[in-house]
Order: sequence, then C-alpha cells, then structure tokens
Amino acid sequence: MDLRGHLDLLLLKTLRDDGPAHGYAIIASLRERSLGAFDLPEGTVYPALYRLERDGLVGSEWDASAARRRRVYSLTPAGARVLAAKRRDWRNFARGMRAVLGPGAAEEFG
Amino acid sequence: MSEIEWYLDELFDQLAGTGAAGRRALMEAEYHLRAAAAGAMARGLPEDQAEHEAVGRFGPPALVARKMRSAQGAGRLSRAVSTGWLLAGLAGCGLGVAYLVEVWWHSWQTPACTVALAYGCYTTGMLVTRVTTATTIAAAGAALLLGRWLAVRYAPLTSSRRGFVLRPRR
Repeated sequence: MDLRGHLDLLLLKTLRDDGPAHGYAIIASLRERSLGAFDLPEGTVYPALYRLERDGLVGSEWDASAARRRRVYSLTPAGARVLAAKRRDWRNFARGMRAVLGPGAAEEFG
Repeated sequence: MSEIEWYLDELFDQLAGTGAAGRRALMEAEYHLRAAAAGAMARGLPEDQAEHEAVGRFGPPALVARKMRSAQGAGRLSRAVSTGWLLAGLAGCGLGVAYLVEVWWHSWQTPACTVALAYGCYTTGMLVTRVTTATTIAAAGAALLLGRWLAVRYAPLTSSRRGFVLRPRR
C-alpha cells in the first residue's frame, strides 16, 4: 500500500498511543495495528522519523539501558499539535471520499 | 559473513559521505536488523533464514540510503530558507531602526523650515515621509520575524539554530 503523505500521521499517532519507543517497536506496532496492511520496507521509516525530528515534531535520545544502544523517539508538544491538525484533515478527506464513493465503498472496492 | 553484516556493509557504502547522520542511521539499522532477526528466531526460524527475512523486510540498501540522503538534503534546504528568512527579518528591523535614528538625529541637528526643497533644513512633510518610510521598513522586518516564528512553531519550518538533528547527542 502506498503510504505517501500519510506516513507522518501514522508515525505521530503511533508515538502518541504507544509512548516513547525505538524504531523497531514503532514499525512493529504500525504493522500490527494496521492488521498487516501497512507492510512497507522498514528501512524507509527511519528517514521519515529523521524528518519529523528535524521538524521538531518528534524528539529522540539514545537509550543505553538495553544490551545494544538504541534510539528512542517520543512525541513533542509541537508534534501533538500537528497530529491533531493532520487528524482533522484526514477526517475531512475521508468524509469527502465517503460522500463521493458511497457508504459501502470500503467493502465494494476492498 | 552473515547476511546482516553484508547488508550493513552495503548500507555503509551507500551512505558514504553522510558523516554523523550516516553513522547514526547505521547504528539504528543494525539494532533494527538484529532485533528483527531475534524475533524471527523466537518464532522458530533458523538463524540464516531469520537474518534473510530481517534484511528483506528492511528494504534494498540503495533505496534506504537514497531516502536517508533525501531526508538530509531536505533538511539543508529547509535550514537555508529558515536562515535566509531570519536574516531578512533582522536586516529589515535593523535598517528601519537605524534610519529612524538617523532621521531623528538629523532633524534634531538641522533647523526646521517652511519652504519645501530648501537646502539644509527639514519641512514637516519631509520629516513625516522619512519617519513613515523608516517605520515601514522596521515593521516589515518585524513582520518577517513574526512570520518566521509562527512558521517554526506551527508549520513547522526548521529553526536555523537547531542544526542537523541526525548529529548524535552525547
């Protein structure tokens, strides 16, 4: 499934729901919560996380408590604000699509 | 050599020249691949198959490296825009205030006169025009700074002082 344009929203929401997590856990959670639908090349999620961090929406720090050092990501207040805005946009988009395609579109095209 | 080692070597080659950003990406990739392989082995896969699955799920090294480089390039552009915006705002404010001070100083030093275009003195109209110009320049600079602050806070535009976030922190 092509997630272009939606990956940021999904990553922010995962961090919001799961709390601080390292990349592998974020990706595993995303795959599990999407029931396997979002099974994208896992290595491509890290650049998205770096971009979110650069934009101040996500923070990160090394966690040395594990056997191997790992980077743990967390949602920033700015990230929470952007998440709320993106969720509003998504709801409006979904409402518009549903209005055009009809209420049974998900089953019809699925 | 294990498949994970091979993959990390490939990724290292593809990320050549990216410095600290590439090093951090490699460390995260290694952690991810080893965790994924361990998970697969816990499901009962033998080690070589577990590593093969982990590498396969991570994506081709060239694709991953290209996206990482792209994220880095976008960061540079964003920082350049942010810095330019900041400098333009500061320049506007500085120029406007400096002009305002100059007008005030000059009008204080120079006698007032009532004839327009008379040399060496200020008419009220000239004074008003110059003060208005200086204030407009300063206000434009302040508006640029405010706009940038809002863009950093809500857009968000990368702050020029934030630097490249992939640089490892101590």
